[in-house]
Amino acid sequence: MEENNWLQVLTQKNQIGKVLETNQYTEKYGLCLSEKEAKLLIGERTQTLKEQKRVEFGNSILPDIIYEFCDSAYISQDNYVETLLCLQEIFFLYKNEMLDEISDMELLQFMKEQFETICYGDLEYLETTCLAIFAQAIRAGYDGYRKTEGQGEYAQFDEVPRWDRELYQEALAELCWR
Amino acid sequence: MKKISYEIEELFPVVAMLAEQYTGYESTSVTYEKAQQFMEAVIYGIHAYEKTMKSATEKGMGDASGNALAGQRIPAKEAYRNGVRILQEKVKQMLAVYHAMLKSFQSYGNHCLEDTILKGIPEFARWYDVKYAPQDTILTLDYPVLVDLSSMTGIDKVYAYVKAVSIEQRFLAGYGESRVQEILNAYTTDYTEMIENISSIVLQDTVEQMLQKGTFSSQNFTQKKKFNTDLQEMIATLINRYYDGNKEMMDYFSNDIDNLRVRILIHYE
Repeated sequence: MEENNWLQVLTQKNQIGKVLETNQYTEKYGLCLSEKEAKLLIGERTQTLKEQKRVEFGNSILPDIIYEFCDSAYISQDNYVETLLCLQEIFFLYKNEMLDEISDMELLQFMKEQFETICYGDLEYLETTCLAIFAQAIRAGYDGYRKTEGQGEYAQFDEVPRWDRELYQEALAELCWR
Repeated sequence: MKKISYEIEELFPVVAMLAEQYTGYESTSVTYEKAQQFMEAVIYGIHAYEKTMKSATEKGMGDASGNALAGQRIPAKEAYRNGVRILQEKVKQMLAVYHAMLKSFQSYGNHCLEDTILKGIPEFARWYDVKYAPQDTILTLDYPVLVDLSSMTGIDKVYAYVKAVSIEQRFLAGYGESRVQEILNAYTTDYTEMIENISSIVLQDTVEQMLQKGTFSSQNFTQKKKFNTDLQEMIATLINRYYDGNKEMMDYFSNDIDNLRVRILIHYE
């Protein structure tokens, strides 16, 4: 075997079984993957890892992505596979962008939190805004996420002035009652 | 990369183990660069083990744990772990030689030698990662020695380097500080800044003195083989007389014969 090919061989470890196992948990959220879809996801994982020049040694991160995002308000059976493909790409991209300073779970928890709140299910916004800004902070030396495990981190870096929840409720009530 | 008897597929689990330990089991993936580093680390460790076993077998001994079946092939993971222990021991041995040398270390005013030994080696000891990057030499080892270390890396290279400088220090100590500096100053007034081997310059001076005194004939200058033989004899005479025939020293300066011959020829032209 050529020495450079061993990096790809490691990545091709069969993870289809583990991905299909997630169905047992995700079906209560109305989400299920067929074997064909699982193979597609694993195939794309291999390709993404190659593009991002990364190697997975043990278990794939894909089941963890599935478990973290399956209860999302913005994922349904219609967009399940497509969303997982994007999340997988975004995950490996930002492991590199954050220089491997952040653990898998810290990154996943940050991604999930932003996906549900700031991004309202918009993957492009997640990738190009929230994660980009957070990655910049980490590269500059920020490590506060270690205490919070990636949760509640974005507000301090958010460049967009957002509604205060109570103020929003008041404004909404006033509009409704006019 | 070093050659070992294990196939690359056998090394995968060991590389995976290193990657998991390195990330604290908090990451399922690493970059290609890191994976390559870990693969080289595993190969370096196993090579250290196999080299030791081969040496032990040649001497008719068992393995490090006293196992008489030194030729028995163990799993790659075990070979790697044994290798790391051997490398850790080698670091200790290097530091022992280094600290012994430091007791009477002289740079003779040469900054390159001083910086490499007094600043460089402690930095190596501080940063050397025997587990995740044993193949890294870390230092540039600017002060040139008379052995070719270009094929070596990591602790192997630094240990060989420290031993080389240690031999030189013992050689130069025989002349005394002021005499060495006198010879260096005659060679170049800029000797404090030069990046050349000091002991070779001092040896050249001694050989030329032996030629001038007629201890050896200069008639063989033009015949490379004969002149090299004469040089070898001169060095042997010197070391036998003043350094108790130190074989290590004799072998070390034998590496410089060709270089010495060329410099003497240039000087006599």
